Amino acid sequence: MSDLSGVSERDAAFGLTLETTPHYYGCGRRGRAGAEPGVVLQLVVGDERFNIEARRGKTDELFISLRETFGRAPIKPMRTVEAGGFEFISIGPSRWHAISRGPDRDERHALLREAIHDLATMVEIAHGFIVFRLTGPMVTEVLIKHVRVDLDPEVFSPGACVTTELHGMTVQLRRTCDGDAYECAVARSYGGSLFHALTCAADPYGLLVLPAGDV
Amino acid sequence: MTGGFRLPESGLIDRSRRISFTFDGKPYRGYAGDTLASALLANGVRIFGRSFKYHRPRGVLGSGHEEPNALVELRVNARREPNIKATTVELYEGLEARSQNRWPSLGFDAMALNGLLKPIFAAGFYYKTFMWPAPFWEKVYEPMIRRAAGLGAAGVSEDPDSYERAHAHCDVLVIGGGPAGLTAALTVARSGAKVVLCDEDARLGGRLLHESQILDGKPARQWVDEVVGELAAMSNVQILTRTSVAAVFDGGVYAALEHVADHLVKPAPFMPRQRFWRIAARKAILASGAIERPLVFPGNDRPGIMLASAVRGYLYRFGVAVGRAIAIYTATDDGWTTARELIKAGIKPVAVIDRRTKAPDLFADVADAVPVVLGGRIIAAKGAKGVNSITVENASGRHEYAVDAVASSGGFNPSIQLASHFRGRPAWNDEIQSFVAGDSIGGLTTAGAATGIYALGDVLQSGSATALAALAALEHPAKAIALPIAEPEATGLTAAWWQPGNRDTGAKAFVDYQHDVTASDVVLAHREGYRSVEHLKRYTTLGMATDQGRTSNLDALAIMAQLTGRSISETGVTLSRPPVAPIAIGAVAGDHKREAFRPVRETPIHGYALERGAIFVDVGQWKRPQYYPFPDDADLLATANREVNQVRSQVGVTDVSTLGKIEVEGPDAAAFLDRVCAMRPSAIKIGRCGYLIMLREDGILLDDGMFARFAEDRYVAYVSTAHAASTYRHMQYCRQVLWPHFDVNLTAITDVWVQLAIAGPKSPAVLQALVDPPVEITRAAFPPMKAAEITVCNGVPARLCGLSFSGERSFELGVPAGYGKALIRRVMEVGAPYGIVTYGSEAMGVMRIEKGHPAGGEVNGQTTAYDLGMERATAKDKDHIGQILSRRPALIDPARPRLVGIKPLAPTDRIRGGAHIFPKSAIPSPETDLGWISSSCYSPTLSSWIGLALVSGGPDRIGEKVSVYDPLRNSEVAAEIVPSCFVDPKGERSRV
Repeated sequence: MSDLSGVSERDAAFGLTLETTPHYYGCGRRGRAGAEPGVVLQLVVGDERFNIEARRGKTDELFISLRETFGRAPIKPMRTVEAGGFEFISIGPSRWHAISRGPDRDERHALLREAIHDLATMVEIAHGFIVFRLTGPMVTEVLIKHVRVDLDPEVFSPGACVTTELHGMTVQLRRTCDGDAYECAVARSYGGSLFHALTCAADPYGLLVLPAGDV
Repeated sequence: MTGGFRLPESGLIDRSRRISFTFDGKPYRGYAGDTLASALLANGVRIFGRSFKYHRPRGVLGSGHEEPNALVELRVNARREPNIKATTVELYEGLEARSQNRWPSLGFDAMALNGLLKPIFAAGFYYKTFMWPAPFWEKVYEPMIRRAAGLGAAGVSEDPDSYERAHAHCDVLVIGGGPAGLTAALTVARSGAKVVLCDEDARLGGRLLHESQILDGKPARQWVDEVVGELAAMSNVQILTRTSVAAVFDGGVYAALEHVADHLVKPAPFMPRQRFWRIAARKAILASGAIERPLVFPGNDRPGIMLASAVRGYLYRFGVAVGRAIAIYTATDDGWTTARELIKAGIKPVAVIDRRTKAPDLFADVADAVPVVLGGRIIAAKGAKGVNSITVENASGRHEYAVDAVASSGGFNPSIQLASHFRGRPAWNDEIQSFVAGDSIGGLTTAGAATGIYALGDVLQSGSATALAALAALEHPAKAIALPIAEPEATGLTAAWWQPGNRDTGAKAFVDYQHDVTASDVVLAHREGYRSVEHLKRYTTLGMATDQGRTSNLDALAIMAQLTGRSISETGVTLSRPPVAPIAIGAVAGDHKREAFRPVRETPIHGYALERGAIFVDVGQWKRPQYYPFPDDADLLATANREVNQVRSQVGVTDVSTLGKIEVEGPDAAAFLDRVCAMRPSAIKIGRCGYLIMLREDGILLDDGMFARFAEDRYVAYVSTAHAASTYRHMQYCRQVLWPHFDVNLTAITDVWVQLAIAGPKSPAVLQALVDPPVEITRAAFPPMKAAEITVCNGVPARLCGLSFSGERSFELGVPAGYGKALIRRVMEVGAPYGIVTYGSEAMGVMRIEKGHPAGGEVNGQTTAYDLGMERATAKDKDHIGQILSRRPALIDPARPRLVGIKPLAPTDRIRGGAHIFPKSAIPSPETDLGWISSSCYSPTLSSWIGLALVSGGPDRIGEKVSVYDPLRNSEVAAEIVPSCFVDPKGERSRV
């Protein structure tokens, strides 16, 4: 298992500074002027993301183990399952991203590793992704310009997630479990292009780009 | 009629809003709700443009997107847009329109002389004339013809407006907002299913906006308003007006174009000009109506000769009379309806000329009111700049009528073009003398007039019934809606096709107005053997103009049918291709333009490279720093030389994050990789690196790179930037399809890690300053090819490999990508005492050529490991992908082009990539060709141009003198074939 877990938490002790604001990320109001922005965008930093893939023929055992440890298992495709302080996002057959945010991560990581032990591979990939969080009354108007997914609330309900194409990039689009926001995750190298695509699409509605931060 | 041709009342125009506009620079006025065509007609304008080939004056034929004649240029400068149908242009304040394809003016066009040369410019003339002398075709004839023919000119400046794409999803897509479309949409909407309703007009209602029908005793327009109001208030309904559904694709996907701001002088801030919709629909109803076809007769293209339904439309929707002396020429009851409406509006037709010998019973009132010529046909239409008289012939003789307009009605063709996109073959319908769509294909079903039923009551019923059937197929409960009662409507007609003679009489009876195809052109095509509809289309260009033959195809087919003695059904019909409505390329591109034309990939230190003034080069989607110029550097070569010299003498750092990185983990990792790779990964010791060679199934080299083995069950594969995606895909295919039983997982981690190559004799010292204790960077403790997971800079996780691409002592250091920018700053900081420089891909490329490492120019999909001198690294005693086929005789033939070095005899002679190699003194020819230069550079280390080449029998020719010939640049260089490794062939420098 490749373990970079806790990297960001230990950052303060490191001799290198974690980059939290890429060169392309400009904060503030842009686009159409108005009292309230139609869309609010924020770069999410500080989360941890593990790629988990079940070993051959071990998917069912993995579900059992996760259920025993966290009370729930990520059995539904294209859904986010919240369990044990993780959000498990289905990204393909027997494959998930587990996202961890907030304090007390070490304890949760230990539990996850214990639950997984030799049933899956687990690779820390948080540094490989850029995540933009989108909120606001016009957010779906922005997204329908780019994604082919049906964002009707009855179809793409809270917790829904999908890997899809956005402006020529492969993105992981999900609606948060509380339904308040959408998150777009993309391979880190595409971050600038995704930022440009989303902000240009949001400009007609008035956009507020918040400083990067935890959510 | 008030001034001009505007009626005092009627129409859906807003008479309280006057609008000023210009046509060919002359000011005019119209009303809100007008189209450009209706406003110009109201102002008495008859000529809108000149025809494509003969430059004949042309007016308006129709009132919608079927219009073939009234093509104009809109706007000016960068927003100039040619070939816009005046019948579809909503009038707006300040609109500037110009006629096109005329010189010097619309009224007097010198190119109208072409009309006298019709015998020369007949169908297919360019296949027969202008053939000699041969060089004249390209230099004289073609430019001349292109200048003389054609339509408008596109703007040359960049379009200042924006376009965007959008996606919609629905249970039922209704295409067309006429009576059938409205009842269909209402039926679906009331059932609760999601419906998207598209119509190309700014207002819903379709033909009901153009006519005076009564529904439930009220004007039909009132019913339209009520239905539209109900639909607009429903949350499950999305109405897209000004939107043309232009194409159908598999899986119920429809492309539609919304003209968001085409009715404005320019789009408002943040407003796109057009929006390209991708609509995913479980079912679709094509309620696109039908288009009237004109009758063919000599001179039928003269301005003032129009479709009868259009004459009625201008009357009712826009309050415009198209003339003061209008003749009705009809083969249908619908022509009589137009006559009746004209009478009601106070414009008594000059005559009704019916091709039938009996007047329809329901129109006795019309027959009593106007002269009627039964069994009649127009045999001539005269008037230089607009029809002023017609000659009519019937059993009683010939009659002359002074007219200023003719309303022509030959029947209606259902608008079924979209159904053709699924290869749906139209079926002939005798009753309407036209083609209708076949059965429902791909979830698309026609309704209303598009099915060939034209009486309003039937059309309303059809829309609702089709919607109910669609909902039933979706297993969505629904109830029939109450339909309004329509008055009885006569829809009779007779076939009234042009009767071709044996000889061309010289009469210009136009079939395809937009491409100037006449009935005699069809006769000519038949005479010359182009009798298949596909041949007819291509030989005459029939139906290939922007109107896609909506008003022309059937008349031409009917002529060909008569000439061949077949029925129209037997003659066949061509299918429509997408798009059925013109779409600007900008709309398809959407926001994919300028820097966002395609997504780009940036490495984690891109921002730092920008700060250092790097010049970037595109490598696939990646932006790689190519070189870091100093102010004093003369050019790229100077910079690259400086960077190479500094690396070879001191130390340099470069960004290699773009290399593909794939983590391979699992108990079967080694066994899996042994099968995927041509070497033996299982033999790589833990904590060591090993060469990576992958072959395709056919034995050709797929990619090469390096492995680092960090644990018994865990490797990281470092593959080339160019082949990263294909290599990962290949490995996944092997894992998931070929050997799914292997317990191994693959994770692409290219973006997770930033990777820096630190190279040069001082690199160990720089590394030592970065790594955390107790790691030592010495020859003994960290030799070349060692791999370790360590920490650097006080605890940052890192992967360090002793790898060299430059031939110098070198390391590749990876840390989590978020630390990339900080890492390179630290590297530059600790490397400063050693004279460290950043170097780009150019210097890296020079050093790899100096070392003879094959890369993109050599791993090109044609070469093998044998060709590139890698065969020693491949395992011969195990099975792996490509192993068998790599031993084919053709792939191990010593005469194959194989990798060697090329050095000019004079060091300053430049060798260029792509140049070919010939034996000394040989005349360059395919027979004497030995191979080609695959990579070349100036080597500052050797002070000479050098190259890598793929030469037949390569290594067997070492020492041979050859000629390097570059036909593109007309250069020839005397050179010598040398070993591919130019610098430090024993590899001593990398082991310091």
